[in-house]
Amino acid sequence: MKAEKLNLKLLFIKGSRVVVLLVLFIVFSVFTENFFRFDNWSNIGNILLQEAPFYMMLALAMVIPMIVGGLDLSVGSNISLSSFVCAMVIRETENPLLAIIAGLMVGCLIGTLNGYMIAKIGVPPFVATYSMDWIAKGAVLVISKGGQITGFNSFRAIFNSWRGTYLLISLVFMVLAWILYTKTVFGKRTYCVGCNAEAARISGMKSAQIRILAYLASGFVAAMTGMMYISKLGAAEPTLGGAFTMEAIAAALIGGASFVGAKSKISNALVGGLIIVVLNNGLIHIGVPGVWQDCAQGVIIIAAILLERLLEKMQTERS
Amino acid sequence: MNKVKNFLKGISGSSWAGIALIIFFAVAIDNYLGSRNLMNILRSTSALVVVSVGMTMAILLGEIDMSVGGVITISATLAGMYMQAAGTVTVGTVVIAVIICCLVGLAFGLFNGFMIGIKKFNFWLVTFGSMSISFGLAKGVTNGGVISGFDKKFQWISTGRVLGISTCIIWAVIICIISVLILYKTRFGLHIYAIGDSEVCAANSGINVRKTRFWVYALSGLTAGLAAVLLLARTNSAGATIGEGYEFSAIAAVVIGGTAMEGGKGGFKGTIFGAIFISAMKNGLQLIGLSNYWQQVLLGVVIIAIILYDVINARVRFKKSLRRVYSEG
Amino acid sequence: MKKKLLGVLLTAVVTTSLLAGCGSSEEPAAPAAQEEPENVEEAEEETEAAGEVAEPEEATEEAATSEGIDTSENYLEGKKIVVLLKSYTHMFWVEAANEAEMLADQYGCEVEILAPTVANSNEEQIELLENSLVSPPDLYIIVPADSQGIAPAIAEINNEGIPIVNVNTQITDESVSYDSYVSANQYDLGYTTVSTAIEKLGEEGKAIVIFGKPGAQTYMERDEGASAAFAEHAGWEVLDNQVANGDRNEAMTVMQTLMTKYSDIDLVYAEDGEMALGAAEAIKAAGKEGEIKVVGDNSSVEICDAIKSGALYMVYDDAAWSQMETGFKVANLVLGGQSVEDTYYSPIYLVDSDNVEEYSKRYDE
Repeated sequence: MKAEKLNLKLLFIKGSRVVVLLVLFIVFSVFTENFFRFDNWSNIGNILLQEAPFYMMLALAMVIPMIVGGLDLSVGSNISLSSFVCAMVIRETENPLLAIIAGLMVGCLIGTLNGYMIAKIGVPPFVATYSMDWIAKGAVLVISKGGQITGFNSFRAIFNSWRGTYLLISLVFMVLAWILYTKTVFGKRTYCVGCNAEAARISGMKSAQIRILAYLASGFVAAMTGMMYISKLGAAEPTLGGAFTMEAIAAALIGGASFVGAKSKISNALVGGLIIVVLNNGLIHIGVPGVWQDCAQGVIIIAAILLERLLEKMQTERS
Repeated sequence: MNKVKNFLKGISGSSWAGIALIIFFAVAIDNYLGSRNLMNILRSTSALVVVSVGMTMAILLGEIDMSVGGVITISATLAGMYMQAAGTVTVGTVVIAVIICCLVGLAFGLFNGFMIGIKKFNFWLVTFGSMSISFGLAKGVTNGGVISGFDKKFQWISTGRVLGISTCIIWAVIICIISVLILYKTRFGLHIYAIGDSEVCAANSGINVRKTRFWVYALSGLTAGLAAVLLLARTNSAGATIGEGYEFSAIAAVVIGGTAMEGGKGGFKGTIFGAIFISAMKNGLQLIGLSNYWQQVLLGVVIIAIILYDVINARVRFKKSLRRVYSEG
Repeated sequence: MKKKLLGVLLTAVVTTSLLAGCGSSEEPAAPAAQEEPENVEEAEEETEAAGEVAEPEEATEEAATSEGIDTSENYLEGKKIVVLLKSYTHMFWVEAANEAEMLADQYGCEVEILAPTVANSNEEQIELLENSLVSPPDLYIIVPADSQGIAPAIAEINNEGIPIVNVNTQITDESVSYDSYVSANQYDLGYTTVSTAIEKLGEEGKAIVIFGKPGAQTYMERDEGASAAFAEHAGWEVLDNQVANGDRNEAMTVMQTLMTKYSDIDLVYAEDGEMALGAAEAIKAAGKEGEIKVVGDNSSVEICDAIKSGALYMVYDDAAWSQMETGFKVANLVLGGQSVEDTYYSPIYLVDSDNVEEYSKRYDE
């Protein structure tokens, strides 16, 4: 009996960010009219189908490099560059498959370059991805000359024909990433590398390669997110993604991920993305003016880490 | 010949880049080395270098303070709001505005320092949270608007001239000198390097790690407040976005200047150079007449090139030194 | 060794600047130095008077219109003009930049287009202007992101005695001066868009306003105009006013959320074209096309297409190209030593399903 009780408490404490999510959800449901109603799921539908998938993908693109102890500041510009290239290919060839491949390749290229600089040459991740961010931002402006591409309806139909496509894609990515990084040998090796890259290398793991693959994965996810975005918006703009990097970091951090290597989980991306979306959506429903959203996000971050500390203390007190 | 070779090898990537840059721009642009342009560069560096000084300390610890951009924004905004509410502006009002700015910066710094240093929360989470809160507060209290148009007395802090030099440059120099003294001449500075090198060793040798950390973040917040004063006076405007990007520029300035992100190595001299370098680059790229779009690409390329050079150089020298040890032994 | 060289370099830079600074005889930027180039007067009275509704395709009587400008002589040939914009990624400014280059070809003058990398950054704009003074042009066309914040840079330009034509967002600091202000009246724009929409839709309804970038003068004025228009019609209720930063994605997200909060929306006024398109996209995704009418400001090829397809109900175009065209005409006069008015209003154009075919022909050239 006692063993079961303890397990529940442990779950509760380990999932402190899920607690935050639930608390927010309950608060918003209780104090507003249309956030959540038993008879009208339009808002929940809105959140799950239209908003959450994107934030979850953004968080995922950030969490994977975090596992290996780094970060990717180029997520935002990766999104805009790869999605713009995708749109360009559609414009020239009208072939959606080719366009998707092109976009994904651009994202992977950026990710690989990041990974190579960080893992093989030894540039600190912050600097490498920061510079890449500038380069990609500039690159998309150069090829777009500030203009936009619109009118690729056949491409959009691929994603928009069913309302749940975005959610499906993001969940598939989540599940695949989860399987890859927790259930496979490769995943376990990635965590080892994140924990201590040098020790991993000495024990025979291809440490550099694993790190490069982590950044490659991040670039891949970012590129996919970019294509989802242009389908949703109906336009490819060079300014897309300006604030995404910070949002990705916020989502990952709120979800419980950490920049200390090997301390992040894929589920952090899921939870983090949901928290951000629920928070932003709920604030509008409660009537908090949009200008206070950023402040609220910051407060939630601090509250979440305080809560986590509190729960940890409770756990150690009991034992 | 060997001596010359060694000398050349010892020059860091950023120094090479700095030399190359100056030569290239001086040749390609009229009046690049003229007083007007140099003043422009130094003026736009003033706020950056002040905030980078605080960031240097955090990076020397092996950590970063992501909140500085937001702290600059909220400090400037509150000071600006005070001046607008004050109506007629006297020298006293200006002084109080400056104090408000610094106090707000210090307040955030103390919060960060308390949470990170004393309560041992993760620095990324705390400073990112502070960043969101400070930017968000600035957005909220101004309702998204800007506050601009301040009295000339306040503007003088940055745009006045003493002996022909803009006042903001003078303030920046003074702050830099004070910081250099703190870092290199006090035990506090020594402790920072020690902790950055190895926290465990530092703790074992009796250094109060928590206190040192606390003060590093507090000072980082204070320098952000000071930078906010200079920025506010120079740009005559405050609002939700004026400090955006400063946290990244500060980190870039510190890293380009040779301070390693793992901590324990580097210092202010490098940072000052890094900050001037970034401003000079932006300035030169604009004057050359490159399209705006290419400017951004080149900025990223140059930063990465410098770091690549430094990193590769360091590895080569490390390997060489290993070889020497093993061959002599 | 490294440190030594750094130190030497640093000292060199600082010393050079110190010596150079001491050597030159620049005057200190005296507080409130009033310059007196030709025709200096603040256009504040004009702004008040222009609060009335401007009929589409006409300008108010008080200020001069761009039609009345004498363009017989070309004084711009061979001269250099620096054009400072607020950003170079927003469709409005891309149009303005293209127009400026085209006009420069027409007039035979050299034009340099500057814009901050971070849109609407006052600090960058000040730096850009200060840098440009290293090789000063013959005239500036300036669109400030911050009407008062830009003052320090304007003061420097005044010190050099270079003329300024102020376009789109007025410089409102009283201690600096410029030669003329050219714009579509932003307050007017907001007011007219909303009033016309209400005229077409009826006396009752519920509306949403989507605000642009916080702190940006143009959005704030449009918002004021729109609020005034709504206030005049008691039957209309403004349900909410949310920020979308001039970004299409944000506008779409905001609109989607608002549609779940309010079940009954008739009209959406988005303060610029990008946001209008974003809102329209959200409405389409929810299947409510036709139920909720979207109106906005600005125009472009895409916006015209949207009007044709019914996604957008109508827009008022404050015509970046028209403002730039008028700006160049005024610049021409200024450099020719001719007298200019304090304010010129370039017209705003209604684009709706009736005239969109005609209007969009403009973009085919």
